[in-house]
Amino acid sequence: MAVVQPKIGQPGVQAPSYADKGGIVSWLTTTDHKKIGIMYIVSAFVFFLIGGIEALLMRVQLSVPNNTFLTADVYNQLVTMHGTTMIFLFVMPMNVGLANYIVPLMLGARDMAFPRLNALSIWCFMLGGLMLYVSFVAGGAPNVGWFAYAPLTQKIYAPTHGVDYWIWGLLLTGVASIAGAVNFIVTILNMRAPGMTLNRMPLFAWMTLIVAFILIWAFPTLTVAQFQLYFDRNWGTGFYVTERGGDAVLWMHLFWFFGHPEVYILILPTMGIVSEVLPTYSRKPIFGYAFVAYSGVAIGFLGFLVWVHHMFAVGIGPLANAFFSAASFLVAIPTGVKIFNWIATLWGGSIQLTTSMKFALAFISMFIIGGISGITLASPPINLQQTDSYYVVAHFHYVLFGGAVLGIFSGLYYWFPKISGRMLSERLGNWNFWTLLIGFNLTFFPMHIAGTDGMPRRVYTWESGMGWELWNMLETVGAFLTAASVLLFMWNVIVSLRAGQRAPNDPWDGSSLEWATSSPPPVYNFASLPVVHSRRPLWDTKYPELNHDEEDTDPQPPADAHAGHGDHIHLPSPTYAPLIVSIGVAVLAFAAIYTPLIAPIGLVIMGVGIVIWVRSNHKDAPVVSH
Amino acid sequence: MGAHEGRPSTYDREYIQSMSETTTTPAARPHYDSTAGTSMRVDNRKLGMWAFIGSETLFFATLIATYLIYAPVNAARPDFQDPKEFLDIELTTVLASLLLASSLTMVLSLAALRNGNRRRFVGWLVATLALGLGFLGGQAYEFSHLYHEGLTLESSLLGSTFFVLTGFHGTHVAIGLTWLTAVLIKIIRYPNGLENEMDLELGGLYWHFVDLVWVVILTFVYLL
Amino acid sequence: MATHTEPAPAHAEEVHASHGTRFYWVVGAILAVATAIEVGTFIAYQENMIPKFLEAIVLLILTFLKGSGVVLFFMHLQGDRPPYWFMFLAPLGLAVTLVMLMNLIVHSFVGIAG
Repeated sequence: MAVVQPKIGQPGVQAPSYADKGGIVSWLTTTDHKKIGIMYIVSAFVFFLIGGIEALLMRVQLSVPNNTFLTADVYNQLVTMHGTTMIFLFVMPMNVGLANYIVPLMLGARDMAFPRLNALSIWCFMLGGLMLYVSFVAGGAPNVGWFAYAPLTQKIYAPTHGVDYWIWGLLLTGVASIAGAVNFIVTILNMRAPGMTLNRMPLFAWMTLIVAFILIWAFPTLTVAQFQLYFDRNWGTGFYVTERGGDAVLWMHLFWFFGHPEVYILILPTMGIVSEVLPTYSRKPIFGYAFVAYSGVAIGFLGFLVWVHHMFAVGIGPLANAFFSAASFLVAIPTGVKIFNWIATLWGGSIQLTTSMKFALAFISMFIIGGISGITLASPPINLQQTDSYYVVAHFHYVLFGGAVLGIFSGLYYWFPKISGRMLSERLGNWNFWTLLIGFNLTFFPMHIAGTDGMPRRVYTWESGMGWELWNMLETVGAFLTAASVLLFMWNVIVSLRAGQRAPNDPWDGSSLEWATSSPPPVYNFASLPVVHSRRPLWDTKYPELNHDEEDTDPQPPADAHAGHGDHIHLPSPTYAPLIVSIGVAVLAFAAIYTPLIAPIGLVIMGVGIVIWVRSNHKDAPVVSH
Repeated sequence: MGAHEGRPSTYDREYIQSMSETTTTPAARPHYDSTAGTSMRVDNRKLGMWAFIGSETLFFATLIATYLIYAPVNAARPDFQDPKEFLDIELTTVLASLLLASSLTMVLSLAALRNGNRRRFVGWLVATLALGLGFLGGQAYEFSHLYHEGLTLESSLLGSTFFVLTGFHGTHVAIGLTWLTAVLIKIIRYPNGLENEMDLELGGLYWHFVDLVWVVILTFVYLL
Repeated sequence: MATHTEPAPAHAEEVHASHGTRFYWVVGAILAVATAIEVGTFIAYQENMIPKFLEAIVLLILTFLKGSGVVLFFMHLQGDRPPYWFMFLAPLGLAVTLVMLMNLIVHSFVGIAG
């Protein structure tokens, strides 16, 4: 195909490294998706460590029967914060951070659709996370579980401000999430490079898009439930107050109507990562691209219809239980479709067992295990045995840690060279991988057994003589091994940032557009906009002789088809506005917890930020001219 | 909000415009095509606004669901308060009319801006703000009246669900008024901004949505 | 997709084929009349002139019509491109499902004893 292609690559401009970019001000005022992505990734990882420490403390307490290492209340705070942190402050923002950095590059865009809104998201997220943790020193962290079941969350049973911090910290991060999701929807739908139809888009972009839709439609229910709880605790309403006619089960319905789609928000991006990693290291295109893409849509849709499977033991009734059980079995099908397509991708490929690839392969196997325990849980009669036991803890850790976390590590090893300009050590990576895999399985596999043997969950001590001693001790040992592995990963990162091999543009011979830029990319991403003719635009450019059968053929492009290169590349200027608005919102949140008197301060700060924001519309500075 | 946010970069527009015949529309003003170079030929900000409206739909749906779920529970309790007794249909009809009228004036304001008629644009937008303020004032009066009658946040499930649902709606009205006022000021100050029409349209979409929610609330809370 | 010459109407999607202002007045009048009928129906039921189910049906239909009027004509969804329709209709469907399903399940609660 003799088509004149623009040279995808950089003009002779030296890509600025982030070490050159001036100081903290440039980070506080940035609207660049790459900087914002890095901030998301780093802060998410910090929360991962904190959540991990919370887990270790719990595992110490649970290592032997009737332990006195932690009091019940401290344990309850830790278990609540561990879940809240890992879900809202680690996996979600880590996914968003990777997507923020990579997806615009994959799409051939210069930035997200709304760069300043993007900045608002990162600041609201950070402030929300900080707010959640301030609770520890402000009377006590929330101690009601990450699911905050009523009526335990009422003021009489949870008298500290902990639950209010849980509400408002998550409302703040919720603002970040919804704004970010709107940003991704518009970016992915409307800012793809010419020629990149939805059917040619990388699967990581597909999953990010699906997740964004799930998010904007699932979060509002949580928001309403949280407001209702806040009003119960502080304004005298009776939404979940049993004596006033309030229904604790309604809380469960509203929470899980959000909570189940939430778990697909957690896992789908990592499935997207795996769908990128596997083809690259198999030197083969993904098998069944359309099936992988549309099964994601199916999962997103069905995911809204299964929430009662978190409530089989509540007494909803056999008819309702049967419906939701059937739907829960059904949602396993599109998941299975993905897995078979991944396996088919590997089949016959030229496999390169990099660290990233190992994590992706482990993702598949560990997620299958988690999926199988999920299948048993989807059957109400079996569920009645397993619910509230450690079997459930095993299930969701296999899908969330064995799935999402391993997928995240795969993505980190895959894209670290692009983001940092350095290669991670494969030797250290190998040690990291095996210790993490072994540690994780040692921690969570015995939980299947202990749970089936009757060990309840959500308890801070357990009785001796029930046959659980060996499993709990193994789990604690495994937890510390996992922690050591994470330290090893951090060591890999530190050593590689300092002295790792410099990364070329395209260390893995990838097929998507992020690999067409330098590592790290210049601030403007692409000098010339790429024109896309297939699902593997970079392989088209690098290997034009490979005759890939195209699923969709282009009409002959116009003779002078070339990506225009403008005289100026406009990027939004840095601004403090998003940070200021976020601070205003955070002040409002504190006003809601402590006193309405400071609410006007929050509103004024927000107002100032918004005025600056609207004014900065007219101040876009050209960055590069050629 | 903003001129350059979301607008594809210059090179996109140049490429697309070099390929297409751009005809000028018969409008009195030079037309700014904010969909140039986009993948779906839609405006980024408008697409984002509709996505946000979709999210708000779920928000109000959950509030309405809670109201409907607790209505029969309320009815079966000793502290039962009957909405039909407390809620005054006359005031409610006036309020609903104010809000519907404000939607009409909103769309007239946008049409006037598009036609280049600045005086009418300002006039209809100010009318929208006035009608909206009237709604809020009426709502505040209704709330205080209900409190005097004994329907409070704490008095029954009706109090809880009614005030939270309509309170959130009122808050959205207030935000909408603030937003539209800001747009009014901005367009007056920067009358030649290319993005003014979209700014007004976006504010208008939010405003109409708030009216739409009231259409539903009127039926499910006050009437049925 | 290679871009060919775009005829004016296709690329001018953001310039609405203008409804004249009179059109908006007509829609506004219809909405006002619908509201009046709604209130009238409500009063008719209160005065025991019509049964409950009739009141409910009429109100639901009118609500739907009023809502459609606002969305299609004031928010200009009519004539807008498909992505906008999806952004509104998909969550609307989910919202209606949520309200109905929640109501159904909560009010059919039987308790763990079955």
